[in-house]
Amino acid sequence: MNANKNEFRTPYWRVVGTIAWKDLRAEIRGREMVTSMMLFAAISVMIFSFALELDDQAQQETVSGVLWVTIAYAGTLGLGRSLSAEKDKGSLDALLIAPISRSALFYGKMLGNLLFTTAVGILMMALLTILFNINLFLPLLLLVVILGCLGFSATGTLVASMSVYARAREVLLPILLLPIVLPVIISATRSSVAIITELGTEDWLPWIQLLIFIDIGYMALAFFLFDFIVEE
Amino acid sequence: MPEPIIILAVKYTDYMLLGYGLAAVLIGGLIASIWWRYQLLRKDETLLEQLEQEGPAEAHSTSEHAPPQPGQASPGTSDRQPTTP
Amino acid sequence: MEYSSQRTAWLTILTYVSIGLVIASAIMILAYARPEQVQGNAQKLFYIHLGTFFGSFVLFGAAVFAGIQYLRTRHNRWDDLGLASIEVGLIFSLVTIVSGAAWARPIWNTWWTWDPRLTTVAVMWLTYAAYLMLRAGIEDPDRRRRFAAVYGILAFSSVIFTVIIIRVRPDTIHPVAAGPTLSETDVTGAFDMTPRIVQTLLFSIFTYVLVSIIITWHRIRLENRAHQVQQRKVNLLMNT
Repeated sequence: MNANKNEFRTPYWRVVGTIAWKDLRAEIRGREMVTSMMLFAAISVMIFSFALELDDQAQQETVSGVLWVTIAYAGTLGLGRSLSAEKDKGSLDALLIAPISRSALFYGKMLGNLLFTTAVGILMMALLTILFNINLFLPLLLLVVILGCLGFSATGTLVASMSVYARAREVLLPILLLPIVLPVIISATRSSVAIITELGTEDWLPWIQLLIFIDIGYMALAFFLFDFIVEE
Repeated sequence: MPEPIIILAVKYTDYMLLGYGLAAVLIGGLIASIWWRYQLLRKDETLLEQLEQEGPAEAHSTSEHAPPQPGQASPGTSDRQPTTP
Repeated sequence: MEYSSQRTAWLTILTYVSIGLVIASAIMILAYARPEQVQGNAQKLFYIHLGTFFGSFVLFGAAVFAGIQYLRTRHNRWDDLGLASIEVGLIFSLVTIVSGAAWARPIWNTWWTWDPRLTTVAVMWLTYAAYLMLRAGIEDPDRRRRFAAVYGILAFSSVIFTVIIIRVRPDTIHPVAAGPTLSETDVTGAFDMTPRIVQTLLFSIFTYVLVSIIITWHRIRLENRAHQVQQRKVNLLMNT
């Protein structure tokens, strides 16, 4: 937990790396977050495949919707856990006292969440490949998953760091987060559909460009706004 | 039968009236809710006035601070407003 | 009142002016602008549809400005502006949505469809509804104001997304009133803008933007009044 305590005037990116590494190590040791996220994701896929009962053609068109809805919900689950654990154990306060830049703290947490969400995304790709019998292991789709998870964890970390202070934080987080993150989900889903159904470049490229644009926008916005959330 | 106004003879007038009717209900509702909340505050204020008269000097001091507060820079103001004398 | 009498006089005048403008625009919509050939009177919903959209756009923009100003200066009045403009903006964008639905029923033959434009507007509305949920959920007043400012800024991304979505995804069936129309063929319900329609439209937009600002102004005064009453209650309890 106190990995950052040793860091005094460390370079910015070292701080980011250290915080992400701290989250990752805690996760490897405890395995409580990713396990529950992955189980949740797997159960969601089962429910989707029972509820939708699709033929091959329809499966190809819906699979990316299933992928992204599950990533969004499982990701929300993980985010709530990631920040409320930090706050309840008091380690958030310790991190805030530490002589590190606030935005480095944000990017560190974001990177940790990005790793977990991407892990769930890749697991989902594998699961859907097997269960829906569609090959999802395409390099372009992997790029979209990473970009989508990046946008998701940027907004997610920002919003979750607000919702942890609220009375009904478990309920509030999805309400606050999902509408904000929807531009990311929509552009990720649209580009995934176009890639999976093997449409031409002009069908997915604008969406990926939009996705990159949104990611950069949200990450820049978070850079300015995170300071105000955690001040005091 | 009176001559129908030309406007009502045009098709889809019902949808136009529906749309404008709903708009009037929503915006009217907003205005009514602001007005209603004003009334509730006014009721509170009369009650406060009574209570402030009962407990004299200290409670009264709130309204004595009115002069030092300069004119407000904008319609939005801070919590610590002097009360109406 | 603590407001300067000049300011109050302005508010009173503008309130009457906006009532007059609403009546004038109603007369223009009903009598001056000719009904459109194909869409009949349903086309006339377009004036309030765009007018209230611009009204809410201005208010949500004002909330961003208020958020930035609050985070910079920590004056509570900016928080009041943020809350008031989002509350009024929510009602105005709801008017945009229902007037659109009333238009879509005869023209598109459905009240609602999951068109990109409609979807993003619905999401925009939910985002600002979430703003009110956030305010209700945070107890510490200082933190509530701070978080509300942050979320008010963040929520504007949904407004931007609503505006740009039809540029990225031209397969919308929603008519584009301003700027270059991307694909005329897909759009259902577009019509020729005659001079009278344009004049009425501009007049309505002006009217409803003004109305939205004036209602917000009154809403801010209500908020101030509530703060005062709250303060008096606290004082009374402290002193007795």
